[in-house]
Amino acid sequence: MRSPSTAHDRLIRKLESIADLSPDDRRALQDLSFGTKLVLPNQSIVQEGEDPDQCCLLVKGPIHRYKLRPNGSRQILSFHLPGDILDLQNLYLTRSDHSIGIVVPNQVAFVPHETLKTLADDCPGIGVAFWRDTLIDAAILREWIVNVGARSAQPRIAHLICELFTRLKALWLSEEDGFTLQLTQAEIGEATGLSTVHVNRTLQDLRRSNLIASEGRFLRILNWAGLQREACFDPAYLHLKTLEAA
Amino acid sequence: MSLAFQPVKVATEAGDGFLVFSNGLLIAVLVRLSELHVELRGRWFLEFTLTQVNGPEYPIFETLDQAQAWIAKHLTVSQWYRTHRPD
Repeated sequence: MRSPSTAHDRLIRKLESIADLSPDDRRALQDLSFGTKLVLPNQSIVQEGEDPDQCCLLVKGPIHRYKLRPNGSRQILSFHLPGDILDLQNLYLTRSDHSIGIVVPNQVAFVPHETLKTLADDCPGIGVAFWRDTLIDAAILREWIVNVGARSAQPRIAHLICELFTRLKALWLSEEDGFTLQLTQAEIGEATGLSTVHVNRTLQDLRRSNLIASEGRFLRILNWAGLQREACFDPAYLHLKTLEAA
Repeated sequence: MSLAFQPVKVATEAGDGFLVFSNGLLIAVLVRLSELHVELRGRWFLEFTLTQVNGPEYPIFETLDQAQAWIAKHLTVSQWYRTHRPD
């Protein structure tokens, strides 16, 4: 057996955050064979309309999925974190209906579709974890519709911060009181339907309210209860095992 | 289209702005950006328009002349509204 790499560890940790894995499931995941690759900004990972034959496993984050509009602007659909397989839906939907993009150089692994299908068939626990992952993906998209359609700027961005913090924490990738925000204000704007001017003002308002503080790229959460209240954040839609057990 | 710019104080961080009128009809609000926006400081942000649905595209202009040229080109008041508006 190969010694598990960071990529294997991240994938197992991600799946265990949303599903129960048996020791056999973990062993099968550790034996998974794939190559990692450094992807630079503006390099294509998956473009809308392509028929990929491999899935993209994120080793270092973040990365986003988006749709491109005819005028060249983007709507970001989701942010992904280390351990996420971004495009599990392409195992059965064939044609990608959106693109995958990055802003900072990223470590990405590519796993052939056939390998993942065989893994899910041979290890039902992993199959269930993949199922849960794609269903939770849809649950997050539902919450994002509410975010963009029904929340004003301050709770909208507060909600995104709450979500990223909660997800990073479940992957053991945050600090106790914050996380390193590797997103640009332009990306936050493209995810929340706000201009960069409004994103900048809103982050400033959240700082003035003593809910968050920025120290370089580190976003410190000063008042977690207050930030959740501002965002009306209920993490139930993330369906994390740690929260379900609580 | 004849455009008129009326200076106003606005409730944003820089405090300076213009109401933009087309033939007497308010069509847009321009706001000057403060040092909060670092390299965009001093530029003019199209905060709000009334002739199209506000979306996530908000242009930023270096000068008022550029703002005026863009508004004249893009924010047209429909002929129907001009002829049917109550006076």
